[in-house]
Amino acid sequence: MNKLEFLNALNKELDVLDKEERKEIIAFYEERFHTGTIYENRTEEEILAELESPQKIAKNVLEEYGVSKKYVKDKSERYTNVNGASVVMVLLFDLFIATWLIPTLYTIVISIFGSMLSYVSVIPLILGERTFYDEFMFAFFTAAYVLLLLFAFVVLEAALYVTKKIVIWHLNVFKLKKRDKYIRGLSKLSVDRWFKRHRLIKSVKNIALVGAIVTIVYTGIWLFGNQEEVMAYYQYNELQIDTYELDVSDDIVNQEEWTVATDLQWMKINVVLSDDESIHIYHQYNKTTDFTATIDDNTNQIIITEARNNDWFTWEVTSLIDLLGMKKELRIEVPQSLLLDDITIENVSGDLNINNIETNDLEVALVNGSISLQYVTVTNNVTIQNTNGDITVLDTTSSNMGVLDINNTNGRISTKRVTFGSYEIDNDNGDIVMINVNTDAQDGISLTCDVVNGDVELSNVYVNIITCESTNGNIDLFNEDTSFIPDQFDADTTNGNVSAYFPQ
Amino acid sequence: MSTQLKKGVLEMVVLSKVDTKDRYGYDIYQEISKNMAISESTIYPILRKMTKDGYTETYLRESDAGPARKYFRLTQQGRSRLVELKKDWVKFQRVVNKMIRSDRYE
Repeated sequence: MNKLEFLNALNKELDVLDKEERKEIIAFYEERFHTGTIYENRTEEEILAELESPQKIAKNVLEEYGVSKKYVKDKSERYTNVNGASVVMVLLFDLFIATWLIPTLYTIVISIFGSMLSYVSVIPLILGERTFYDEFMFAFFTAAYVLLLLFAFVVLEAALYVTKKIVIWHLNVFKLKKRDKYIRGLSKLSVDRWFKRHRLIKSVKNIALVGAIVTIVYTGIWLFGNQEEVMAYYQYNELQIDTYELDVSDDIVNQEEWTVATDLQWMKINVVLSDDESIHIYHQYNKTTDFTATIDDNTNQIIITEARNNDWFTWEVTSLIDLLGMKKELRIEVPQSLLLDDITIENVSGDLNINNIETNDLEVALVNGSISLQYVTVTNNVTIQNTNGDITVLDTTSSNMGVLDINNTNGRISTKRVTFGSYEIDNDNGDIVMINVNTDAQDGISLTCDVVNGDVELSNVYVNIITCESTNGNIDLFNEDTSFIPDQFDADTTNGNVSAYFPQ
Repeated sequence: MSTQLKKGVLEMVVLSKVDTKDRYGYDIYQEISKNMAISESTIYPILRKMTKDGYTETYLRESDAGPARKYFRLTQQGRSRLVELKKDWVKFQRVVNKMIRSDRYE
């Protein structure tokens, strides 16, 4: 221990005292060191050997002040001083994290509790005449809902815990008065604590948990083992396929332009070429939904919609069967020679594949699902919007050097062999990988990549202006043709590395 | 000597040490410890309390030998406090002596 460590230790030991008093006592000891080392010409070690330990000093000092250490709060309960840095930290935390974290947590809790309402649709299974299929289905879904309810409690507890921690942190940082009382009050806010107090309910909960697990395993194995019989019983043994078609050979001759637009909820979508001169639409499903497909020869539009169905009460057994793994699928086939103006795909959940299509503009808006484009040629722009899922764009070009705009939140974005006039790639969580971009280098091409958590890997990217930003990830640029050097390469990362094949 | 007894008279002892001449903290401790085994860490809070109560005042005294040190000087109030304490002490001594001596003859 040296002088500074000694004084720091003493300061810490005395932290129940008023700041002013603490400073006075510390000043005595500072002076004590001066006197010893400078006036009396001894070493710091000698002085330290003479002095009592900081703990002993603090005990005596506090006793002199009439405070016994015995009655002083534990160190962990004492509060740290308000300091500017932690206030800034708290405010930044509030601004950037608390603003979405807290609402998100409670939204999840509410939506899980809310989804319990759909249990109503399970009840008709055991009303009236019923078979053992109904009973098994009922038991299976009841157990699933019980587990969901218990899970909701766990999530609620987590949300409460996070909230409490944040509130306590704020109270301490801003040194609010009476925070002791508030903190004690807050600690009572806990689902677990509530269960502990209500023992009967707790034992019901535990029995329900074990019961639900046993039931779901038992009935689940039976249901999946006899999946075909169950489907047959509920009359969805065979998938139904509806076909819509229109011969457009005249339009091909007349070079008329068509548009494709969808507004769907839960659908796997494929857009591909047909092998004749007709438009074909195949819709595969378990049970009729509010699905409409229109191939309008007058306006030259293909419009496919599915009504929004947000009402939990209208769920039926069939939609529960959907959850067991059946998925709806849509296939749109267009003749290769048919001119396409715009393709606009809107969907909530489901994968999307577009292959070998040529169109003016392509616009995709999806929430959940992976998106794959292959051999797509556009005159102008490709715009892709997604929240969860990977995005793959292969062998895709824009003949008028338009924009490739991809916006995603969670998932990997990869492009290979693409040619556009400019690129705007945005992602939050997931890598951005771009290979063979504008391999026959043209002037005036710009590329902007923006990612929060994930790497940006660019290889054989012959683009003049490259702007990349990754908060927590690496940025790599590698080109085989090392004679090509972009006019501008701005790579910005906070917690990662930047590497390029040329000196910067 | 019992710590409790020492504590009771420490204020008076400190005041009288400062009364003879102005002194800095460590000096006061050294002076007292010549005659009485006390802990350094009990002196400092006492000095601090006396200043706060207005019995002493402090000033920094420069020195060629090293950095300035904080010196304590008795105030008027401190001086009368010392007189009072000394008076009490003499009275107290007498009373206590009387009690413990009479015990002997009882």
